[in-house]
Amino acid sequence: MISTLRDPKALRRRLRDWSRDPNMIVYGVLLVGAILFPPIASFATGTNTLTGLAADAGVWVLLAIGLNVVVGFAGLLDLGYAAFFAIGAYTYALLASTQLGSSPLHHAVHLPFWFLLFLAMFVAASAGALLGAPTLRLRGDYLAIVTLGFGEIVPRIFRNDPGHFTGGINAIGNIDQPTLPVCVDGPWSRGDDLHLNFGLANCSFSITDPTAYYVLMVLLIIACVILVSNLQVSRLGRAWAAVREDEVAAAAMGVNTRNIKLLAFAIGAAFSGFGGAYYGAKLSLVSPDNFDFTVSITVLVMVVLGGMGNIAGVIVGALAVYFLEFKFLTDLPRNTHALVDAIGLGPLLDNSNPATGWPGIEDFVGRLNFLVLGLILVLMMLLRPQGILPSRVRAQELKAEGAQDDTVFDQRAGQT
Amino acid sequence: MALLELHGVDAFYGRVQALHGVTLEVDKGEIVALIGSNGAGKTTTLRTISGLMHPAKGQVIFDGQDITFTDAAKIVQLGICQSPEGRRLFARMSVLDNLLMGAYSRSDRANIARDLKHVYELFPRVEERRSQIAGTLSGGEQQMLAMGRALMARPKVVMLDEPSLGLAPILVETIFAVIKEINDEGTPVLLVEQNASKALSVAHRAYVLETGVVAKEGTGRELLESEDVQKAYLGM
Repeated sequence: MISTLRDPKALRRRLRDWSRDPNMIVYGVLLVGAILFPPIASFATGTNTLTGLAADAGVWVLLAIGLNVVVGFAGLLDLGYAAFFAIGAYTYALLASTQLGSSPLHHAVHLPFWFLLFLAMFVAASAGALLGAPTLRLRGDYLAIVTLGFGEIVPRIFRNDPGHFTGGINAIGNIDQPTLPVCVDGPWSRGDDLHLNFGLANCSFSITDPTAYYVLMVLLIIACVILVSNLQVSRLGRAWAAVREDEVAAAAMGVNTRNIKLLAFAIGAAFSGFGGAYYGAKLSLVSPDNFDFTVSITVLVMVVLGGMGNIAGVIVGALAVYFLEFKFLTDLPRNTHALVDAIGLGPLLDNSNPATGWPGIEDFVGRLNFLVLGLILVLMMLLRPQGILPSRVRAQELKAEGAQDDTVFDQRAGQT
Repeated sequence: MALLELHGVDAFYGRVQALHGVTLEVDKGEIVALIGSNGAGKTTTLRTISGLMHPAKGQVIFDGQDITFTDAAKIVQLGICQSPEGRRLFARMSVLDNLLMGAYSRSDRANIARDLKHVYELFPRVEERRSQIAGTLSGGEQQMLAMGRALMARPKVVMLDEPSLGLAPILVETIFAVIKEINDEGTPVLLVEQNASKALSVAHRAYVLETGVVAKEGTGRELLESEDVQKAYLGM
């Protein structure tokens, strides 16, 4: 890797590895899918609701990429990841709405979205470093418990609203919509909206339009993937992996383990802050209820299910879990109703008989939603414990375990 | 003054004292062996030198500089590198990444590439396996990788903890041949071994540790011929 750029042979080898890397195929498919999705979805349904949903899914992809740095690269179990998401969202909500006008400050602040996107990232990263500094000497379970506590505390602070800044349970609404930065503003935009009509009738790009959010999100994700992929193979990425594998040995190699872990925490939090600001802007509403424990767990599930440590896998995992939770399971009661109706099991639909107490199939399935989700997740982990797209290392390890069984024994033999 | 010196080092694990006034030195160009039975304090001595633990009393001096309480990371930069007991490879990283981790505290890219080549010359098997992940190597290959990783730091002193542990006799020969080769190139080696006869036959000087105390010291040959040592450690 070191002499790659100077040595043509090494460069060729790297290019060859690159083209054989199955992740490249996944990235390619994802990119093509991302480009084709909006026109197909709007053609099929006539609206761009699906595109909006996909843009929301992008937020989760960002979160999963960020948590993957903490959990997958550095091996630190973080159960309070939603806290940084909340911090990012509230940073945007407070500084781009009338909220601070009714706070003790008495001055509404309206900073531009593009600036706040990076400010939110920075604030969340600082919060990550602040939390990490005293807690990262803890390991494994203990770190998980502390982060769990942090994840509960932060949304609660926003909810309890000390000092009347955050609006508490009333949430912050009416948050500013992003406008285009001056540099890309021009004759093609009308006021705040960007209208590009690529010769297609039903395809107008406007920044208040879900499609614009979608495009923005895809660009953000591409930037983040490039950034994180480079981090992974850098000296820092190697140090993370070393700390994950064996902290003492890493220290013996000269790694400052505390700083390295802190950096993982801060960088992971930064992505969360990034996602938070975007989320606040798109929803135009930031409420403390959006950041509870289930958010942290869902992101963790995305990372583990997708293939911890492998960025492409984590993206696929995030999309799969998002689809499961927010599309498949949300539509399941209605679809079951339709199905039962179609095959002529009419009595199952009846919820009007108080004697039986039967709530009707639609309601019944609705109540079982989380059971179904749990079952699907358990099944997937049983069938594919390494994740949908495992990291290269994990794949090789599993292959080797099958081929020669003495390796594990050998490795432990010397440890007395 | 020797390159590396320990003066009257006391070290504790909690309230249990593991080292009692250990004094030893390693000079330029030497192979120094540290032998003793289980729990004698050999590994503790290495951990004290490499800064993974700090002594309660006494001094560690390297290259004229007091490093008794210096951080492990800083000590690596100063030029002491350890191949730890049980190898402690990064099992789920590739062989190449393990070697590059050895050079973690260095920034001289061109020299790192050269040292990588050198390690591959010393251990051709390691080069064959460079893109494999370390956990899937055989025991002997893992030991070679651990030593290679230590060398990648381009250390002024290299400390090897039980390099022959759990290896087939033929591999033990290879490992000791490489230890001599490393030393011939000018790197002093502090060698901790249970295989006392092998260690004493390559070492210029050696120390015998017994329950945290230096019980005996001398040249490798002297100790090899000493009756006490033969009885206690060589099984004669």
